[in-house]
Formats: sequence, structure tokens, C-alpha cells
Amino acid sequence: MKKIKINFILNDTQIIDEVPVNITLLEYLRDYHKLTGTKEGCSKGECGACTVIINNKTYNSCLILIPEIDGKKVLTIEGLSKDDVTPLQNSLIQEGAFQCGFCASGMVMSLTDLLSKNDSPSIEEIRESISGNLCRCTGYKKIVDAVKKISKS
Amino acid sequence: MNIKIEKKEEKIEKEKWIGKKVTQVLSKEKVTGKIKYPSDQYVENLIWGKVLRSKYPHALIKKIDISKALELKGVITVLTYKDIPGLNGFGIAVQDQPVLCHDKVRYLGDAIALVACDSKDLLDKALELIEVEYELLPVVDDPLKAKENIPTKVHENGNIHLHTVINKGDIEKGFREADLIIENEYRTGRQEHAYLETESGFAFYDEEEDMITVFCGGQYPFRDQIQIARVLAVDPRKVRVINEPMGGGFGGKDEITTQIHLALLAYHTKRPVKMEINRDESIIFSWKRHPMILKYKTGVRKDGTLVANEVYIYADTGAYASLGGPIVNLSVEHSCGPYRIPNTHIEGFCIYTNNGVSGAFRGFGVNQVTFAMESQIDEIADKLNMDPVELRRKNILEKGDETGIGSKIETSVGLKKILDEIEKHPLYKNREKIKIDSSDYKKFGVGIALSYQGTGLGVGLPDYGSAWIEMRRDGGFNVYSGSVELGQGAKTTLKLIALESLKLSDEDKVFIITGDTYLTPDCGTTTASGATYRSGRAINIASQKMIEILKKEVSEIYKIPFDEIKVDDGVFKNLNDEKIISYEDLAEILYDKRRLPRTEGHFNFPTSKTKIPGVFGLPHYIFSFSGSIALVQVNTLTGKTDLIKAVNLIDGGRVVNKIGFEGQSEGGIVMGMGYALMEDVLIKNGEFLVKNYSTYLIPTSMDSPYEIETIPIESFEELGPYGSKGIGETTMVPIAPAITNAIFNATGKRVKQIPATPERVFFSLHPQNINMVSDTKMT
Amino acid sequence: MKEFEYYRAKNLKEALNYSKTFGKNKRFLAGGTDLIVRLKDNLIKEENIIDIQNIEELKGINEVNDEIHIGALTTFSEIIESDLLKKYSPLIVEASKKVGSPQIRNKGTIGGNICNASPAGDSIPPLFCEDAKLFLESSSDSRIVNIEDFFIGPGKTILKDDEILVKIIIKKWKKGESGFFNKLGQRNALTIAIASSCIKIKKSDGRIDDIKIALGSVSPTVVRAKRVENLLKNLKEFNKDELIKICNEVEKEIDPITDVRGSREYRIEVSKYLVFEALNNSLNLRG
Repeated sequence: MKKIKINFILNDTQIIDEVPVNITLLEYLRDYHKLTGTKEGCSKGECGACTVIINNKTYNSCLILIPEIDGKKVLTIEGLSKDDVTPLQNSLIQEGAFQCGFCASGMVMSLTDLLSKNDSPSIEEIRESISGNLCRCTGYKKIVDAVKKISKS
Repeated sequence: MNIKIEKKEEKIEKEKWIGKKVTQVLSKEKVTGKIKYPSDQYVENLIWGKVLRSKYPHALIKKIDISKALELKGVITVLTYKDIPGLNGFGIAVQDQPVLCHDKVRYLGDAIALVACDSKDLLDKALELIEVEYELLPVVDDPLKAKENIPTKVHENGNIHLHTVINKGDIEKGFREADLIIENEYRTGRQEHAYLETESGFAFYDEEEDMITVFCGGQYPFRDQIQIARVLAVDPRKVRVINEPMGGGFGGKDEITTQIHLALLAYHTKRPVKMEINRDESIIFSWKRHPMILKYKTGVRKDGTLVANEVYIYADTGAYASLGGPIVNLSVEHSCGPYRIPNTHIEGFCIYTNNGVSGAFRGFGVNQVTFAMESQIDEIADKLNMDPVELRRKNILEKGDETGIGSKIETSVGLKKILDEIEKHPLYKNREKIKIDSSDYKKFGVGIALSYQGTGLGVGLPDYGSAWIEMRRDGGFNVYSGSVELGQGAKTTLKLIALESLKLSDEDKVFIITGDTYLTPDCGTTTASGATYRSGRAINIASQKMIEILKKEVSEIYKIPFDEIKVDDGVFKNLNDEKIISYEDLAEILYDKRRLPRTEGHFNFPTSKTKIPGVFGLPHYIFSFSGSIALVQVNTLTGKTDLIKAVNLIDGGRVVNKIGFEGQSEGGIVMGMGYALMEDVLIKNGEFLVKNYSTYLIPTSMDSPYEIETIPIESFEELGPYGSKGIGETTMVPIAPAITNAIFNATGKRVKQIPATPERVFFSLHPQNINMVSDTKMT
Repeated sequence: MKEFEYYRAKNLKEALNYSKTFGKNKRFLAGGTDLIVRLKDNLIKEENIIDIQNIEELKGINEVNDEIHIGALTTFSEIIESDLLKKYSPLIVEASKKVGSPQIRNKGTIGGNICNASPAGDSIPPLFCEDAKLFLESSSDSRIVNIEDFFIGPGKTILKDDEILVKIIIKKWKKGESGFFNKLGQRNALTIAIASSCIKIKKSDGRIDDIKIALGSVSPTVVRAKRVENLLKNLKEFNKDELIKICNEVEKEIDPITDVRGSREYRIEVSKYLVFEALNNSLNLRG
């Protein structure tokens, strides 16, 4: 398989690597860097378990070919949780927002992105922000409540 | 009776942990992505495995040629039925499903060969190189036809896996007494568990111990262990199964999924192996909720008294048995709803087809019959012009009553309280007012439904709980239980029971170890809403023994009579409430003497005294009860229905883990809503029309109502740990009929087939192929 | 995933050169939300993937006299956030909001949506209502085509092997214009339309001066309901019965298929109601 050079920032670390072109960012994060916080739920962009933040926007990492990432800045759940839990994560813990937890990383990334752009989101805005993140255990309610609790308004 | 109630209140007052909101176990690891699920395992020397599945839904295998695949560079092994040392079969009830098919395939998920490669990229290429010659057989895809004596048989013994008949009273007499007879046929969809983590897993071989470890989501590690050992023909002790953490189960991981395949690859290669199951593969091979055809004929007197119910249940169990038998029996047991009906005739058929495979799923056969029965009740209320609560109140089961199959209810029943709460609830009280708010084509409607659910496995199936507790040197306790944390909150609930039973005040003093055959006692399967009950009781018993031993030690050390020692907040006290010694200090002393104690608790799940000859898995002894109120909005122009508000009223006994309880209820409502409105794995001719999340739709945050209310109806179950029963399943069952009854309330038309897709609702409102009619209103 | 050659085009010229070199044997990677899924499903037979995401000439939303030019690589999120489009072409904004999920809207592009030529492409019905023009360029030539003429069938367009869609040109909304986009899905997010309808109306003195109706997911391509438009334009008085009669004519303009999302019969019937609902919303009339 043809390989390509990539040079990008992964959770504040510069990565220079040579990789096959036909792998996705999700596979690269998990198989090459053991960053297993980013999950595969469907690999077709339908569940959001693999959500990461790239240049301040959320993406399904299963729908990004690794060459596309060249020159970009990627934040994963590991980068976000490097030091301690964020107020958002803490609120999700306090509310008991998750059950099996498999969707949690993706949800946290989507909600982190929301809060970075809007520190007082309405319930509708919160629901909208996680409309690309499926959860099968909860009714989404406690997730929304956890965000509402730390919302500025 | 009064004395009992006083006692109960006194008990509750003294409790520190039961019913409290506490941080859920492992929640920090979940929100930070640090928790490692089976699919997150990466080790040195890892190889990758994948299954070759059948190309056809029904065919004979004429030849399997793996030679070309073996020649591919990077392929480590290719396994077929020839490589199975022991039994080539698995299945919880009957081992009728081949691990690797030899001569016949019965559905598209059937496994034929396993490949292992040193790189993930090679797997598909290797699978393509395996040549399989098939001889096609006619596809059996209609359960009603399959049931008849057709020549094509999915299994040699015919297409009927199980047929249960139950008669109570005199059905003919019952219908003669009836003033109104309602007859309907209902159909239900093939629901997929859609746990966010598929059945991916990891296994390795430990040469020193000569042991294979399989790490894969599952619901009963000790049964997985036996199923694996049987196939490998090894001593079960040489197989270790770890089932957690896992990304959701809901019953779908009760049966074997990937475990045996992983074990076979590790057994043959002696290398660590990982299998990633992608979503498409998962949907095709994994178990589904049984689609059922339900024929109901219900007789009722003018005053609303139910007198007769005739029920025929036809369940499509797909290619293999798995738990199809017990599921259909549970449908039979619950088919008449939580109502007193003197005359019944119930028949349940569990039928083989080539339509995938059906198996355990949250509710276990109760969801389908509850949808049918609650639709019947709603129609009766409408026809008799009776209030739906009033009609139900007239007929609900009370302690001492007989269920539809004639077994006596001997334990707590919260139905009356549930109905009282429904009646009081503003959503129900104001339902006529709410309807007025409808716009001309967006109609509001409110519906209700009741349900009950046997907890535990029922008569004839082994069902027990056990736990070990050991005191640690730091005065804390390790608590071992074979139950599995599926995401339902078992670990937190069991921790709370341990904290309470061990009379501790510090949350960190209990460490819960679950879901691992190497570490924990066998605690039965984590299904049937029974983990709290069975493991909770076992922990409770082990804790009492622990405290007794510790008190004896204190008594000996301090020369204080045993009966004059009390325990409170992790401290031993004398009768004057003066501190004798703390757990911590006692533990130090016991450690020095090498006497840190370890206790066991064993508990047999209570079963009904009623036995029905020839039928297993019923009746049940303990029941949870629930009710739902749904407010829907139906767009009558398109048929699209939205659930706007939902209320769950749950009698699962005392609530142990408050957050977990609410979480289960909210999740249950949304999963039940998906079942009612959108979820169905469509299969035609044995081929899957729905293959992944783009066509199998589960509710998103935009579909799920934000307004969900959960009202605990805490009946105190004497036998349960701290009065609790179980709630995992009953939280999702009544919402589906509450929604369809609300659609009727909104539109005047009844949906008899779920999911109530926009198309089905549309055609119930607008008869097919008729142009728009002029009474269509405008705003 | 299938193996392929990957090329990154830095500018339009480079992309057109690749286009010329590979002809049929290439796929452009714009947002990739569809392409990558198909690569995984082994549905792409072309061997060369040309990543055009870094091409500046294909980006941006610009006001040019009475027109708005939307670069083919504009993402749905950019469309939703665009003040120009909110002001001058709100239907495209509304339709873009219905695309997939936030993550998909951050990646998926309007050009990709058009070139995929799915009859269910959410952004296409409003473009039909706007009479959008597509600016196509090859290494030797360029041309402008009407969006309606662009599609031949599901997944099929008139785009030549050496051509690339550069931008979409629409006229700014004028006074008196209004519209309604209506997507019917099996659920409220992350869903492919069972059927959709878009309607743009220009009214004066209580009469319909002009009306355009486009329907999605009910024919091999998105279609205009021109017959219905004409009947509505000639309508003197908007009474309910007349409108219903006209909506029933929708049936003659569409040719839907049966799939897992809905049957042909349902799509035919529900399309009438979707147009009715859209008219109902746009006309604000009492029946």
C-alpha cells in the first residue's frame, strides 16, 4: 500500500509519520497510537462515538482519511482529559449522565465544542449539539441536564 | 400488618445508603475515555481474527477450500469445523447452533471459517480466498407458513421449536358471559439491541497456566466459560472469561457472540488475538427481539370486568433456538397483562425460519404481548366508554390473585398505587385540555399502559446468587460477585447494598469486583432484571456473616458479651454508644493474627409454588410492575409521530441506586419509544434490508423527549435486599403501547403493527391510494 | 478499506490536470462523508482519489451584484452560519440544517451533495427553487448549466470526466419572496429523507406571481412540480378545496421507488400532503 507523509498536531504533540493512505483517522488513533478513548461504533458517521475536535470543529474521525489530517490540529478525549476532569466532565459524573459509557468520549467532545462557542446554551441547543451522537443506554436527559447545570445563564 | 409497616419505616430511617444519589462506579473513567473495553485491548504480538459468514440464508455446504487463503502471506491460520476439538455447537438452552458450520447454513450470520492474520488489512482479502460451494435451499421466511407442515425444514425435527398451550377456566363459557368481544391481530418489529459497542473481543493464551483468557462483553461469564470449554474439550478451569466493562448488553450479549471464536483462535495460534466486529456484521449475526404475530380475542362484561382471553402467539425465532423457548414461555405467562381473567386459552409457538436469529432482549417476550394486550384494553375502554384507568382498576391483579396462566401472585404488587398516580398526574388529568391545543393537522394525544414483569428465571431454571466478601487490612472490604456490569449500574447498586449491609460510612471502603470467572463466584446470569435481587441478597447474607465474625472477634478481644456489641458507621460500640474499636483498627489486629475474615453468601432465587407440567421458565414468583403515560403529537399530513412527554411509574420495590434507577427508566423510555415508532430490522427472503445505523434507526437526542419523569412506586418486597426487586426490563415495556394508545387518542385510529412508522400511521389515517380528502383542515 | 492512489490538489489548475489525466478513473474527495463510506463498502471502482479540500478557489460565499456565489467546497455548517445566505437565500440555510448531524455538516459540502446526485440530497430541492446555476470548469473550458439540467438519474450527472463543479450561483431573494422547506424523515436528525418538498413563492396583492416547487426522494432525481406550479399561478382564489385538488396533481409529476424508508405508494401520497403543508405554511391562508 502506498504511504504518505503526514505532519500534524495530536493533543499538543507534533506528529510526523508515514502511513498508508487508506486508513481513517479513527484507525490511526487507535491502532497506531493506542488512543482508545475514541471509539468505533459504526464506522459510517452515524453514531458519533469517534467524535474528535479538529481545528475547533467536531468531526467523525471514521470519515476522515489520514492524509486529510496533514497540517491540522487534532484534539481527542485523551488530550482533553490530560490534567484533570473539566467542569463539563465533572458535571456529567455528578449527574450520572452515562451508563455503559461507550458513547461518553464522543459526547464529551461534542459538548466541549458546544461550550467553547456558547457558554449558556439552551436545552434545544444542547440537544442539537449531540444529535450526531447516539446513546443507547440513557434517554439523553441526564446528559442535557449535566450541561444545563454548568451553563452560565 | 401494621407492625410490619412500622418495622419497615424504622428500617428505612436507619439506612444510610439505600436510595441515595451517589457517584456511579467508573464514571470518571468513562467521561475521560480511560476505561478499556474489550475492543480497546492492544498488546505485543497481537493477531487479528475475522469470521467468514454464510453467503446465503439457507443452503447446504458442499465443499470448503481454505488452501488459497492459507497461502496468502500474513495469514496465520484458517479454521473450519475440522479444527474444533470438542462439541461443534452452542446455545443457552439447546446447543443447536454450529460454532463453524459443517454441512448446512441456516442464516446469513452463520459462521463457516475463521481467519487470523498478523495485520488487520489482510482479513478481508483472506476471507475472499476461502472457497465455499453451496447448494441452495428454499428460504423459510414466513413463520406462519413455516409452522405448517411445509417440506422445507430449517432443522431436521421441523420448524416448531416450542409449542406451549395453557388453559384456565372455560374459555367458551367466558366468551358466552361477555357483553363485548374484541378481536385483533397485532404484529411487532424485529428490534436490534444496538449496543454502542459491538461484540468485539480479545483473547490470549497463557502458557505457564495453560489457560485461555477471553475478554468479551457477555452477561454470564460462567456459562460462557462452559460453552467455550465444551467446544475446546478442555477443563472449564482452563478457560477464564472476563465480561466487563462492556458497551451495553440489553440481553443481546447473554448468548455467545464472539467468545468461542476468539478462544478457538487463541487455542490454535497460542497468540493474543483480537476480533473487531463491525456494525454491519453485528446486525446480521446477532440476536434480535422476536418479531411476533399476536392474535387476541378478549371478552368483557358491560361493567368492564374481563371474563375471557384467547391468545395465539407466533414468534419468529430465526435459525437457532438460543433462548427462544423461554422467551415464548414468558410471552405466554404475561400475555393476559397484569389482570384477573378467569377464563383463558393461550398458545405460544416458537418457530424456526431463516430470518436471522432472535434471542434475549430487555423485556424477554413481554414487550410484544404487552403491546397487544394494552391495545385490547384501550379499545375496550373506548368501546365501553369507560375511563382507561377505571377499566384497569377493575381488573388489576392483587396479592393472592391468579395471573392469566393460573399462578398465584404471592409477593408485592404496586399496581393500585401506579393507577392512583396515573390518575393524579396532570398529563392524564388534563388530557382532554391538552388535545384542544392541537393545531388542525398536528394532533396531541395521551395514552397509558400497564405492565408487569417476572423477575428471575422462573420455575425449572437454575437461578441463584452468591457473593464473597473479604476484609482488607485497611478495614475496607473487597466484594466479589459474578453478576456483570452491563452499563445498567449493577456495580453501583451492589456497592450501595454492601455499604449498607456492612454498616459503613465511607464510600471508598467497598471495592466491587464483578464479571470475571477467575475472581468471582458464579452468580447466575445477569438477566431477567435480577442482578440487584440475586447478587444483592447474596451480598447482604455474606455481610451479615462478616459482621457476626467481626463482632465475635471484638467480643473475644475486649471481653464484652457478643450481644452487647453494636456496629454503626464502621465502628463497634457498646450499649452505651461508646466506641470500642473501628473497622480499621480491628483489621490491623486481625491482619497481625492472619485472621482477616472472608465470608460467602448464597441465595436461591425464590420461585413460584405453581408448577405447570412440561413447561419451563414459568411461572415467576416476584414481579415488578410499571405504568407509562405518553403524550404524542401526530402530524396527520405525514403520519410522523413524536413523543413529547413521557412518564414512567415503576414498582421495582425499594429504589437502591437512585441515579441508576432514573437512568434505567429514561433509557427504557427511549428504547421503548424506538420500538414503538422506528426500529425494525427488515428481512426479506432471509436477506437483510437493514444492515447498519444508516438504515437501522434508533432515537437521537432530537427524537427523545426531554420531558421524562420517573415516579418510583416503592412497594416493599420482603424477600428482596432492602425491599428491592428489579427494574431493568419493566422500565421499557409499557411505553410502547402507551404511545400507540396515545396515537389512537390523538387520531381516533389504532395502529396494530409496530413500529408505527410515518407510513403506517399515514395509511391508518388516509386509506391507501385515495386522494387527499377535502376535510383536510388548514391553519 | 479498498486500496487507492491518493493525490492532493493544491489549486484548481492541479485538480483539473489530475482530472484530465485520470478521466473516469478518479474520484474527488470533497467532504468525503459519502465517498469514505463507499470506499469502506467497496463500492468505488475508481483507483485514484483526488483530495480537493485545500483548493481556495472552490471555497467561500460571495455577494456578486444581485447574485450569491457559493463555492462548491462550502460546508453545510458554513452555509448555516452565513449571514449572506440567511438574508438572501434562507431556504438553502433551512435545508442545510437538516443535513445529517453537526459532525456531518462540518465536513459535508454543498458541491459534494450536488455531485453525488442523490434524489435525497437535502440541499438540492432549494437549489431547484432558486433556479441555481452551476459553474463547471475543465482544463480547457468552462460552462454554466441550470441545476435542473445537471442531473440525469440517481448518482448520474452531465459532469464530464475532466470537469469540476466550481461554484453555485443563485439570485438574491427579492421583496415579496418567501418559501418553505419540508423534510420528512423517519426520525428528527441523522436521517435520509423519505420525501422532501421545497417551495418558493413570490406574492403580490394576494396573488401568486411566481411559484416554484421542488420535490426530493420521489423520483430518480429531484424534480420540479411544474404542472402544479402552473395551476397555482392561475389560481384566482385560494380556497382549500381548490388547493387540495391541485395538490393531488403532484402524483403526476413524480415516480418514486420503494425502499426501506418507505413504499412508492406512501411517497406518492405523502408528497401531496407535503406540498399542501408547504403551501399552507407559505400562504398563511384560512380555509
